[in-house]
Parts: sequence; C-alpha cells; structure tokens
Amino acid sequence: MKIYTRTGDGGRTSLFSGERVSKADPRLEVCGEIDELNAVLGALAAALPATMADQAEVVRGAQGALFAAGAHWATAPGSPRAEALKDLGGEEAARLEAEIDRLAASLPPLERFILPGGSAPGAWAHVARTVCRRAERRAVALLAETADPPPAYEQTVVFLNRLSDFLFVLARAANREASAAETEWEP
Amino acid sequence: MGAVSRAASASPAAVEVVSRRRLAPGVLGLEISRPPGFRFLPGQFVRLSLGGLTRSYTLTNAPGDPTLTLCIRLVAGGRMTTRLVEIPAGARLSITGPHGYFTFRASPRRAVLASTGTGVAPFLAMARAGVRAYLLLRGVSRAGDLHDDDLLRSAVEIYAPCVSRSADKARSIPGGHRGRVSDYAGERLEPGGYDFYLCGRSEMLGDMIRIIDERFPESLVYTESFF
Repeated sequence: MKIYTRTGDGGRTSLFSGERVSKADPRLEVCGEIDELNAVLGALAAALPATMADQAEVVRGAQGALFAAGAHWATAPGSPRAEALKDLGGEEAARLEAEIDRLAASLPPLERFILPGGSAPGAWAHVARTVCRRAERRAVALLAETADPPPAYEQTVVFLNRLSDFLFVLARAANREASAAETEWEP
Repeated sequence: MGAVSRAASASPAAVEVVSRRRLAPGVLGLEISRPPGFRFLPGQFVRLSLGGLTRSYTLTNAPGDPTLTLCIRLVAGGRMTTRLVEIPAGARLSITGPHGYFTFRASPRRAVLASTGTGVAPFLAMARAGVRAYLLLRGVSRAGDLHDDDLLRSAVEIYAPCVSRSADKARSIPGGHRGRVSDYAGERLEPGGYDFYLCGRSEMLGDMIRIIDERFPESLVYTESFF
C-alpha cells in the first residue's frame, strides 16, 4: 500500500469540481488554512481535561463543520458539482454563540488585554484562535475577489468569526479550570 | 453546517443477503436487500458491516432496481473475504450510506472512464443507469477478470480492456490491449479536453493525472482511489 501518488509533484492538484489548478491557487490557500485550523482544533480537543468534555465535543463539531466548509472552497463557483454539497446554513455558528454565552457568563469580565498562554489547553485554544483568524482573513480576501460567490463563502466567514470568539472564551475557561492565572499585559 | 453528503445516512440499516455469485476468479458479486427509502447515485458506495468488520463496497445496480448489488474484490486470506465467499442467502448484515461523490455529470466534453480491477464497479452502476461515455480504459491483470464485458461495451463508444499480464489473451479480446490504462491514454487518446473519471489503484491515478496535466490540461478530473 502506498499513500503517495506523486500526482502533486508538478505543483498542481484537483479541485472537488474536477479542475486541475496550481497549489498556489487562492482557493487552495483557503482550504489549507481550514485544514491547518482543523488540525490545531484536534490538538486542542486532545488537550482539554475530562472535566471539559462538553467543550471538546463542541470543538469536534467545529472540526466536522470545517470539513464541510472546505469542500465548498475546493469547488469552483458555478460548478454543477456544488449541487452535491449541502448548503452550510447557520446552525453551527448559532451553536457556537450559545456556547460562548454560556462560558462567558461564568468568567470574570476582562478589563485589560491578557497574554495568550496559561495552561496547555488554554494555550492551544489561543493558538487555534490565531490560526482561525488567519483562515478568516484568507476567506474574506477570496470572497471579495469572487464575482457572484456561493452562499457557503459568506457562511464560512461568519462561522470562522464566531469560532474565533468561541476559542477566546474557551482559552479563558480552560485556564480557569486548570487554575492558571491570566497574565495581564503591562503596557 | 452539517454533513455534506446528499441523502447519506450514518445510521446502519439491516439488510439480508439475497444471492452471491463469482463474477471473476477474484471478484464476488453480492446481492442484498434494499432498505426502505434507500436512494443513491451511481458511483456511490456503502459501508458494509459483518461480525465486527466494516468495509466499503461500491453499488453496481441501477438506481431503480429492487435489490442492491455490490462488487467485492476478494483478498486472499482477508478476514472479510473469508466470511463473504461462503455467506448464505438470508444472512443478515448492516450497511450505512450511500457515501461518496464519484458520480457522473453530463457535460459538453467527452467522458473518459478509467479503472483498475474492481475500480470498474462505479462504471457498472453508471452503465446500468444509462450513462453513455466516450471511452472506457479498463485495466485488469488477466483477461479472465473481464466480467460484465457486454454491459460496459454497450455504454461507451470505445471499450478498451487493458490486460497487463496475460498478453496473448488480450489480443483475442475485441479492442483488447496489452499494457496499462495509462499507456493507452498516453499513446492513443487524441488531444482535447475531456472529463476524466478515474477509479482504482492510486498508482494508476498518479500515472493518469501526470498524463492529463501534460497532454490534456483543459480537462476535468474526478477520482476515487483504492488504498
């Protein structure tokens, strides 16, 4: 069994909709950012303590949603192949909002910037947040350049924005769970 | 956001074996009952579970058929193979699905289908569903593996069985070629933009895609690989 096919050695790959494109194609860049974010979320879920199993489940739900989103970005706009993909909708973003509200209600209000870090799970949540913001920036850029973009593009941007907010409160909640003090920034 | 698969079901459905037959020395055709409301597109597969083992098999029947048929590559000494080669009618299994996106799309470009081994399975379902393609490059090790020849021949303008081992027998098959499917594509397929559907071993996919990038860069490529 070989897991390498060498098909990408020439710097090209296939979109879900069949086109052969450069690996430097902006769509591949967004897909790669989403993939990286997904991997970091996996590390975060693995690092969360057993007492935060509910939050780990939310993280895994976000991972599934990112797979679904990635398939849309790997499809050329207007391709009939997009019909095979389910409309993303807003359920996952709404789920994150509910979880943000729940977590935030149990945390002390922030009055100053805090340094990213703390416990290992808290630090992973901060790393995931920054990767998420980068994915969001790439997606926003491509959305702006795309004439008549599919609804999934905008839905992905909304989801990534909400996911970043969730990861910020999750970092704080994880640090509190680990009794790791938040270090405020001293300007 | 949720699952992207259309009409896919992750919850298992109970099915029964209706019949089984040897399609070729290394290929088993398994007919199973069709769960109520089960719908699929030609080219999709199911995940079949039996006795704690789960494997993916492509559906080969037409979408409207009363039962489902699967094309199963027999693996010498394989745990699932051992169970399936002697499975009796009436035996109970479970399936999930349909899964996958390797489905046919009508297009102004000519469709080129290429398979190795049981990678031909999705093309059997497409042929039974009335899909008509330009060319089928069907790679097999031996001429004896060419089951369902007539069906496939009727679904394409050019049927090109490519036999990699038993060269003498390849010559006796109408349209038969000695060598690999990628040899045919690299040497005989006229320039142009095509819709390529590639299903089979990853080595074949790699060889084909290199040729497509070199000789047919305006083409679309859809793939389903076996590992």
